[in-house]
Amino acid sequence: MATAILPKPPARRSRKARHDTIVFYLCVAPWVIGFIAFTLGPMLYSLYISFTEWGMLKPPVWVGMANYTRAFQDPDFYISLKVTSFFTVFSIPVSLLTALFLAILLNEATRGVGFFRTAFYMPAIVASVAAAVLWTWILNPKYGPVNGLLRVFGLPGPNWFSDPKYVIWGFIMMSAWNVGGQMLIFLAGLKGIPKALYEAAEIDGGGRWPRFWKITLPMLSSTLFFNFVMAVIGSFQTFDIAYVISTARSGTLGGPAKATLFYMIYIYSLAFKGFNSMGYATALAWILFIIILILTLIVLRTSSLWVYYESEKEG
Amino acid sequence: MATTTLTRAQPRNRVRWWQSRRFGNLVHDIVVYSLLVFLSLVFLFPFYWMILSALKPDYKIFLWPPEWLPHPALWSNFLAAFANPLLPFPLFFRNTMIIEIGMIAGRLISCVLISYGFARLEAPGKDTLFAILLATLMLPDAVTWIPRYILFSRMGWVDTYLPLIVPAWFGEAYAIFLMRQFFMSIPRELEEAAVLDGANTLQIIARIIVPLSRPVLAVIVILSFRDIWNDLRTPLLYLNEVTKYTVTVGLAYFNGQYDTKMNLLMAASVVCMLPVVILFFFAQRAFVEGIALTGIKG
Amino acid sequence: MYKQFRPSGSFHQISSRLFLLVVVALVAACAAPVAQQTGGAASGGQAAASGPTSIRISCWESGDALEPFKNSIDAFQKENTNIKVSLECIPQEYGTKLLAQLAAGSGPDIFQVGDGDVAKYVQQGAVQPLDDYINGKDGLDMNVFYPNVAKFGQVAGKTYFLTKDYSPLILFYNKKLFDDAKVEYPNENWTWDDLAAAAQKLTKADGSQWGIQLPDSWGDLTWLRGALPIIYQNGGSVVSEDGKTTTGHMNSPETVQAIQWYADLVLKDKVAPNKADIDALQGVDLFQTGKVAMLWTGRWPMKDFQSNKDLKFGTTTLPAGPKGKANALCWAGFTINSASKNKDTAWKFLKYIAAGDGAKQFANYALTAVKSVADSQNLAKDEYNAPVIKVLDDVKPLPEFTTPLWADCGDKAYKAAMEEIFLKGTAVQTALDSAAKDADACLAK
Repeated sequence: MATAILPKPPARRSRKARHDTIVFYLCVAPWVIGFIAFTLGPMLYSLYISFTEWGMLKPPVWVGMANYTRAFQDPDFYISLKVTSFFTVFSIPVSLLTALFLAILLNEATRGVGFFRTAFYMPAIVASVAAAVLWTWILNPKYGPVNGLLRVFGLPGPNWFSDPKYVIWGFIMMSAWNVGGQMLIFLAGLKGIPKALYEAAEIDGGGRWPRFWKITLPMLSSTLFFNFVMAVIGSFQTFDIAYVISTARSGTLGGPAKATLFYMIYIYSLAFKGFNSMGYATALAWILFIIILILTLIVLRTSSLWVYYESEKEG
Repeated sequence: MATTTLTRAQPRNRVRWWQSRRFGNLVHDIVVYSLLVFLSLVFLFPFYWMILSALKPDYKIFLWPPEWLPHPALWSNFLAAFANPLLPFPLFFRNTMIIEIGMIAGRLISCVLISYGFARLEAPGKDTLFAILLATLMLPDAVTWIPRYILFSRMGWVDTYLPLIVPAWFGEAYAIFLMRQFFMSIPRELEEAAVLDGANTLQIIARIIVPLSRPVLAVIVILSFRDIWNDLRTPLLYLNEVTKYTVTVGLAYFNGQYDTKMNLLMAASVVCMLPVVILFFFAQRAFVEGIALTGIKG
Repeated sequence: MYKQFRPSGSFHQISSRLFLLVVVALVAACAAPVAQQTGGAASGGQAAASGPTSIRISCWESGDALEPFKNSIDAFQKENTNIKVSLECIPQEYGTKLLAQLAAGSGPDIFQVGDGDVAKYVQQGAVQPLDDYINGKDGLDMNVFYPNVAKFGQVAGKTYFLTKDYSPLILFYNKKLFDDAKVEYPNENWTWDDLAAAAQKLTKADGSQWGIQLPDSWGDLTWLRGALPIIYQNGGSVVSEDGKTTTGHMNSPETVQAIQWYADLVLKDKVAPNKADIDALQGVDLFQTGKVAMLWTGRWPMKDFQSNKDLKFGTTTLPAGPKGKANALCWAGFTINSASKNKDTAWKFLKYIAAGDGAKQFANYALTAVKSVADSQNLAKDEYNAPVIKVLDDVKPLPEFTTPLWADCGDKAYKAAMEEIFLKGTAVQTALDSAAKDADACLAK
């Protein structure tokens, strides 16, 4: 890629470079303006709030680092980190593989693709209020289809949403069902692989399987990379899934027995249900920001090991 | 089985009939389509239950074993779901569409421009800006709800659609990141030719980049549409009057505090899904063509 | 050369910028400026110069529950043509939105708050003390309300809220199931033992019917308010009067014994559905479908039950424990935003809906606190509602009154203990001991 290969612009810059700089800043100006107008202010304000005690109804009171030190003595902080990490570690591979598998299947099909694409995307469309009701039925311990299926194999179905040991697996299943967005991105990536590469492989007599490993997967690795980075960022901020389920079941937010106390759920309940704890909630949010930042860094740094760059191979 | 034909068609000795191309294609298609049919049934099965529930009286929804065909089918549930004068769904639908169109148009236009800048142009400070862009995705938004609300409130934007639409005109990090990835895949040679013809940046974007990026633009339209369609919190936070509500907010009203009319909730949800399914069905066609053009060797 | 869209090679540059951000954020975290925030509410609504005065009222209601709001606003505006009342109700995220609005200084003039949040809003100065209005020219005689109910809107002797609606806990019973099992109907003289014995007889071994559905938060056996009467009926408590200590209250022998009785009904005697049963029957009204013979809950479902022609049911007071009768309320009240620009107008409307003609509209939907309105509905004599009015004398104060930290500390610890008991089978004493320890540590902060 050009940006990587080209050396940094020298001190004496050419007319082209100056022109490029001006055009670049004109292009990204909307984002810079929007960032300063709508995002920077709230971000800085929240950074300030993280050093205060604040209940939103009175002016905040400066407490220095107290909120940050409090986190490390707070057992619920560690529980929420554990819940979130566990969910992330399992839900990312499960949902990415599901999305990838569906996209590849769709890419292989020639007829009725529109129907199948729509079918796989439908879960992403359904209103979350209705989806939550659907899932309380799907995972109903006695009358749900999942446990019905397990019974056929002689397995005792767990009491999904109220068993602290299984509830998170219920959520992982839900996230595998709702992969429409990732699937579409994979599909767009697959459509971008030039046919010429396959044609060349076919002349060489390669079968479907080798072709998949030698062409499709490497060519798709950068899409996979995008989805993976976004999944890491998104998964640590998991909120809606736990929120709508607990609303639909009138259960405790984060329950049963804190088994779904996702980091964001903890932040939310501190911020909006707690007393004077918006400052602490905000400090937790900034801690999460640092965690996600570090993880993203690791992913970016290791990406060269597993993301295939055609330009690098060709030198 | 067309075994004989296949054997006869063997071009080389070492290729047996089961290794032949036609047989391979047949097996491939059978495998692909059985998987597709099976998986789509798995994915659609909950929706069947949803429609079923919409056609039943409330108390029958959770009966076991379920009535797989509702008799009698209570089509009146659909009327009842939309009969409440407090919940004018046609109006909610119109409101949602206003927000959708305003927001998606803004996001497409701004993000194409911004992503082009990040994908193609060299400038000092670019990488820092991009790092900040990525970082904005990493701060949980729950802690900026209140400061943002205060900001929009001071600007007098509360109880209008502006807080939902205007920020989209200034780009959105996820869409910018995704679009940038795709733009970088487009061969520069095409642009260079256009530059020689005297095209400026906007013309290059409009004539070359956009037509070549149809799949990713479709992805962004579809995902943005869903963002608003499923967003409950932002409209609840910023809109005060019922006449300004969106469809999702309207659906939340079915979740009563002490009793939820499940059948009506399901009926309303099914109807509210239909336009989105139709929209998706048409939008996904953008995947068929588009990138075929980019098989150009550099 | 064809280029697949790829994360650019410049990711190494980007990642180093991200690394820089980590450093910057960490530095900022250590050395953020001690900015002094002026904060507070800047400006509420517009003061009335001329023309009609507008006030805003917010609520969390949805569906039918909106009708009393609409009706009373219409009637009020007809009487007061110079006042315009706008209604802003959201079915979810009510608390989040209210906090955002109040923080931005754009809160509604009148809003409603549940019993658990009373202490918080009062302590933070967000609500207007109403005593000056009550004793003022356009005043209000507080004796029109049931005294035990009106108390819920008062903190330290001052009135901040007027009651919107409330409910004590009562016992519903299904007459048909009692007749079938030839068990005498529950009555006001019942004790815990009577209830447990009847529940035993009304439970079917095949799991098709239970004796009683216990006070639950619609499926959650961890709801303190529902179990509070049991604790009080045994002479127990959950927190000291100053709101600082739970040890010796939440884990006192009386409280442990009460919770033990409660847990035994589910776990040992199995006369009440457990968590798995409740989950399986999610969305099914256990009482209306005859799966439970008794239901220990608030007055809310009564209207639904009355409109069900196939259901023959009765109501009575909760049974007496070893230390007699006790009850707890679920309560919501209206208040005036302390930052409102139109407090006089807001008071006029508040008085109208809480004690005037508007209160009659609300009485059609939920229990009224105004004695004369309740009398006009004949509640004290009505076969279903008489027990509801009767138990108002037994109502005890809530732990929420003692400290604004109750939800964060006490309630949270109690919930955790109940989950331990019901999900993991932990001994009641052990679970409540550790709950009291956690709650105390939290309250001490």
